[in-house]
Amino acid sequence: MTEPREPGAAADPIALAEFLGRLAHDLRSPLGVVTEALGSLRADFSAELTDEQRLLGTLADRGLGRLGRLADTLSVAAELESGRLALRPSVVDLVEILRAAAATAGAIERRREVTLTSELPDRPCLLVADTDRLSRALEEILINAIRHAHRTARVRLELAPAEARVVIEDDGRGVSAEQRPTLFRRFVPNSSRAGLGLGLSIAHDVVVAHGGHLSIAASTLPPGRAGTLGSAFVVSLPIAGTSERVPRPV
Amino acid sequence: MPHQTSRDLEPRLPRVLLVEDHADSAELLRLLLGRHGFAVTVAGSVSTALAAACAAPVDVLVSDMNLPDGTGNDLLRQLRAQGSLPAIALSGRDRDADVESARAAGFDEFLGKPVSIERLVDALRRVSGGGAVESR
Repeated sequence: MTEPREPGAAADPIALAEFLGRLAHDLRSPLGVVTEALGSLRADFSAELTDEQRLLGTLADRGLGRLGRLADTLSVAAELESGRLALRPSVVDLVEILRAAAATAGAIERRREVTLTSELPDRPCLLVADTDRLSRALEEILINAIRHAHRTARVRLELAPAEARVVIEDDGRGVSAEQRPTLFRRFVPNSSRAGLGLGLSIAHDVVVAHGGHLSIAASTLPPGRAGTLGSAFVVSLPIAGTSERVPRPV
Repeated sequence: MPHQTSRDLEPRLPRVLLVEDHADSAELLRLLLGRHGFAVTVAGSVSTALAAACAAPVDVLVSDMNLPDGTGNDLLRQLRAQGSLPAIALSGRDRDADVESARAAGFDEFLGKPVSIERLVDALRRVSGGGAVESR
């Protein structure tokens, strides 16, 4: 029989992983019902819907999408917590992944007064990665940037002979010295605008699993407000030897 | 003397300044409040809300508490410095401390998210017609 945990004691990683997995599952079941029911209603009445009713349907879809993403986030957190993050590596185009990730993040984290811009090269940047996992990691950093921006978030790609550097920056208030030690720690929200404290920790662990690293610097965007300097999250990924290098599991 | 129509005799519904930075939440509330006959102006931050309140008259403030450049409490204090204004707080965090903080800042009502449109409309009618009642 398991002893009850003392308040404040660290959670058993395996028990926590199981809990997160079950929570994700229990979220997905009703989400599937609502999504299907809404889709059927729309199909039945599509010819009769007014523009306003269609907009309501779109808002419902987006809300369901956000909940679905939350379930996925819990599921990935469960994998990381259990130490078994499964990767399916292949040769991928980082530029293509970044374009898609920016579109996804912009659709999920829709802020009224914030614009996300992309400065990406026209030619591909090939590396070995798990497309889904790396996409997710980049989306999480982009979502974080949009969430904390004052007016502008930006993603750009810097290429070196052996390394691709993805720089995702915002013109928000930046990260304080006190916040830095726990910035990539799971379940530690770092601001009142942060969510569960999972997005950046997932991004960090996925990037490390790909042989890269995630660091933070000062944003090069003009300050959103006087006296503040936003954050730049820098994802460094190896691009040399893509034919023989395979990401390692965590 | 201008001719008075029956429309002129109908009570005018309040002009609502809705402050919510999440675009879909703001769009949904704007649309549903519009269906109930409210005239809604939407702002996504403290600074744009202050600008909107200067640009056009506002009868009631409905504000999220966690805004990108400050809090709903900050916003209400600045608006109240310019004159009286009924106000409703919306928040995903509805612990006692959050409610007390909003009350201390002067919010007439505190509604925890997710809030149904019926509860919000009821609260709007209460604060604009007097007799504030707190609900969660």
